Amino acid sequence: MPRHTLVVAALLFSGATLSATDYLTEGADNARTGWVKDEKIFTTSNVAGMKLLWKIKLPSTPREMHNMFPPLIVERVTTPQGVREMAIVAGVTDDLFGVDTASGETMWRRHFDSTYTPVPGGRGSTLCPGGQTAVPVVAPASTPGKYTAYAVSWDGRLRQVDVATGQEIVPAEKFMPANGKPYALNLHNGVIYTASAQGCGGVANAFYSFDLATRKAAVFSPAGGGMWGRRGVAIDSAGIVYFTTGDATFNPVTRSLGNGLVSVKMDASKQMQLVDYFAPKNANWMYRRDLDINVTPIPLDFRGRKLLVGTSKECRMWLLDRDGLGGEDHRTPLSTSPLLCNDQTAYDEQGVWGAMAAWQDGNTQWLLVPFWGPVSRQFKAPIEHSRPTGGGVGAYKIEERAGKWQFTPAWLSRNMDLAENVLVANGVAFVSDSGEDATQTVPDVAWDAPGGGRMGGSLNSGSARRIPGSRRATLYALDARTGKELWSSGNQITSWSHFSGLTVANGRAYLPTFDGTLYAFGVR
Amino acid sequence: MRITRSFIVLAACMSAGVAVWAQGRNIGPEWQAASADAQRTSWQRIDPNISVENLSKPGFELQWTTKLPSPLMSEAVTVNGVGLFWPVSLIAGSTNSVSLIDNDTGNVQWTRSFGLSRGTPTPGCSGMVAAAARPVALAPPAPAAPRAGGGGRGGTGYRGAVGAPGEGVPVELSQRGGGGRGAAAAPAGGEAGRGAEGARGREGAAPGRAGGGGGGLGRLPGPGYAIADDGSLHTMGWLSGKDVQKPAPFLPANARWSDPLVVDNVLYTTTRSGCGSAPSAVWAINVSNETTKPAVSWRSNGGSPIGAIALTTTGTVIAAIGPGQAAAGGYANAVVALDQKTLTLKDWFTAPGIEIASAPLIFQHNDQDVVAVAVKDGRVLLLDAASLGGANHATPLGAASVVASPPAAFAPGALATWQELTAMPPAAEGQPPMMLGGQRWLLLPTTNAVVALKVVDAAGKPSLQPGWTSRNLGATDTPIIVNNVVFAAASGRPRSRAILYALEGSTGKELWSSGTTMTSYLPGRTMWASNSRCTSARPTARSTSSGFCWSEGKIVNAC
Repeated sequence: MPRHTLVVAALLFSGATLSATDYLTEGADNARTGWVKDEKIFTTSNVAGMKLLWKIKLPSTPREMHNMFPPLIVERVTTPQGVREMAIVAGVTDDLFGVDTASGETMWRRHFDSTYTPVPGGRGSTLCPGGQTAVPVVAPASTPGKYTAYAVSWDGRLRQVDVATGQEIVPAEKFMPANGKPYALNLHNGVIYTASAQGCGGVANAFYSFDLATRKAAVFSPAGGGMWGRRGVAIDSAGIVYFTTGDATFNPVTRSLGNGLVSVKMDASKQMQLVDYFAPKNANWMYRRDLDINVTPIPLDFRGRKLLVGTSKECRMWLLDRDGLGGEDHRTPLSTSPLLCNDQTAYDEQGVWGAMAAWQDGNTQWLLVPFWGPVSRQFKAPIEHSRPTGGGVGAYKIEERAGKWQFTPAWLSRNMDLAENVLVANGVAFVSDSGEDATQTVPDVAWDAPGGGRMGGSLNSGSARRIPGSRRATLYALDARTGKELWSSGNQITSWSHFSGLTVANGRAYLPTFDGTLYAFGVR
Repeated sequence: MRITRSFIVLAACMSAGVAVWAQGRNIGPEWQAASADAQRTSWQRIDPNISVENLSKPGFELQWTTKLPSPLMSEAVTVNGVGLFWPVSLIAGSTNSVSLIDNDTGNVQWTRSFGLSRGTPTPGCSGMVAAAARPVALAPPAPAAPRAGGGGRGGTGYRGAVGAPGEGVPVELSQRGGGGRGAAAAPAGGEAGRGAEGARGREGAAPGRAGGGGGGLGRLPGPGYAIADDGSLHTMGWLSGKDVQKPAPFLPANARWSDPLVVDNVLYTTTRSGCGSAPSAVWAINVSNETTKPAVSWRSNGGSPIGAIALTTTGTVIAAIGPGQAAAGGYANAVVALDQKTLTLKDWFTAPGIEIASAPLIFQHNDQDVVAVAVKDGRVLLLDAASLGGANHATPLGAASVVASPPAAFAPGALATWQELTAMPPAAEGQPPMMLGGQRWLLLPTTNAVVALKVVDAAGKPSLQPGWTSRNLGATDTPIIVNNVVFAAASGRPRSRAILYALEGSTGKELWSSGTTMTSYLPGRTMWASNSRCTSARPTARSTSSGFCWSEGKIVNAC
């Protein structure tokens, strides 16, 4: 081997070791910024050489349109087989998998026992698939090299699993009611947080917490609708927990905080207390149109201000001051963007449905927003790689000019098929699109078409109708500063994904799909 | 200068300081037929936002304008809940097309062309555009006041709790009574969430299913209907405008038909002679069968029908027949009553010296249907719907003194009626407040004003007394009434701008006007109200880009 190759390899290895990153929680951090700050291996220069490293079919049984969730990555786990980088992958049918990221080998599988007995003959629905729906969260244990994965199983119990072996290290704990739809777990100061949506299983749409030290579980209901930001609740450095409420009215007089952003904080008795709330001025109109506020908000600190960014299916962004969400009336943001998409004010197939990314580049605060459907006629950016019709990513700089905050459009990506999630790693924006059939309305069928003569127009988000029409997911790597496409998975991914996402760490990008395949692309 | 006219639809909406509208998915009332209902009252009984009180203060303003492709457009019919959440208006156009617009935004959802227009080959047949149609209930339901307030799900507001160590979250706060997107409490087993996927929309609504026209959220009343220039009846899906049933032959080609009405799976319209090969007739087509749609007609053998038919609350078809030379057994200057299914003649009114000048409308007085028509001598006649003209077929129940100088030139659908409503406390907790009916009014436009007549009881019979006359508004079209507010549009014909006025229904006092907002004139009766919006359609010079919309200085969906 030539000497220079050995040097480069050594440097790469060194870098991978000394600058390695863990991806222990969905969205990269407590704030769900989607910014993988410590990533050093991927660069804008080398990502074009990314290739499929491996793909594995995990024995995860889908439920409705759900199957597997974005993996969590632990870079150095002391396993019986030695030190390994591990991916922890949750499957909807109460499975947890430990995968060696170097080889794609499945090192263990944990299938949770259950205290919940499904109704005989019952089935779920797309919105309420049943099963394990929350991305777990991982935390280091007291012993170096040991990690614990926390998960909520279908029966609503909290599981604590040894990342090295897949063994449950303590008995399952009562946490929340069974058969709900909790979203990605977040762990802060020894407390597990989540929120549930859609009223699935009769479980309240609420914040849920579990204090690991006292084993106290708490609930806070904003009296809103489903709380379904893809990355689960976000937590700022002060421990304040933020999330969205959809599908209900906003009326503070009646203490109803639907279609808004709500923050809570744990008190000394381990009960969550309301801190603040915000709803846009058209919140109730949005509710009527089913334009849920459905995107995990991102708390970020920039230029000495404590900010919060939120968005929704309506497809405009709000910038809020975390010291007073929406000002005195709770309805006045620091800034509201024009529409990025969804000129049709559609409740399906258009809008923001996935997860944003916020990252800082020197003195520039970036916000990358993935969206579904056509870009809005209102959105113009200095750099436009397309005028997307199926979805894409719009990038903004969050700026303060003359004392006023604003979203300044920066670039617009290529066209995508329902852009879902963005992660930014070392200047590279990784974006996955889902390729799913996202329609929720029964189409008209002309009388002379095959099987024709059907008046559509009614609501149907059912899996049986949508699965056959789903396509393929694609992973993209873009220059996070310009939106230029650096790499695409092309047609290498053969299935689609629904309410899942991607993971990036240590020179690898992971994407699970509906067919139970976990893809690993990378430059290592 | 050659001016190609296109059409602008303009909507004004309550948008500020209105609490009720904002509660829940209260999507607001529908405009279910041309002239509002099967009785052609032009009356929107209840609206959560439009009221005398709210129109007396700022907040009603232009929300959007939208360009549509046809030079002339009809009054719309509206439907709530297309795709569950969209309130829409279906508008027919003179270019042999229909368009669907989103009532919230003005976005054109689709435009459906039925092919090249056959034009208007006969002089006198142009300039009239009939509306599209949708199923409508025979009689409107008793109005209920909109619910005020509105809490969150469960109504108890935000709250939290903490459980004992090791016991999980407290059950009472973690179980919910409501579902996700409109779902009932979910059973354990995964079926929950929106819950609508099964029952509400598994296969979509059956084509042709005529509902009660309630228009509640997520309940489509049945398909949309439109008649094309070739006389065929099209049955369309709301989502795309596609024909979901095979187009059915119905009228002679190039006929001039009136605003159709669909009740109990029968679509009614009228044709006048002299346009195409159509006779002066009333037509009905059964739309209940997807493949075979039998049609029947009744020929006047005399005058042409004036405007559209109306239905009594018991289903009798009422048509006004204009002047003409009646053959033996024929009718001219008459009001006729026809059987709902067969269109066989049941009854008629005609009297020497009386020239019928408007289409009929029907209202109830002492629980009896009363037919009102305007006549050429400037009066309004009231007829007993159960016995038109009495035993001699020539005696009206009552008549107003002259309200317009003869010979009065009323528009075919000149008349409108409404009744003052007052919200009463609900009969029981949890039930909506009911509305108590008060003074009945009859409205009609004259050459430069709106005249309001009071319907009063005289020995058990209705009679008409002067009420109020608006200030000089210029030439106006038939007003519409929304929740005690009269909307009258000064047409601005032929070259001035139209102005929309809101008048207090009981006094005629001007509450609001559109001022200079509208930039062109109204070609005819093209106004409707739904979802707290009063919408009108007007022609204007075509822009280089068609089909656009914009909001005026604010987020358009704020209301």
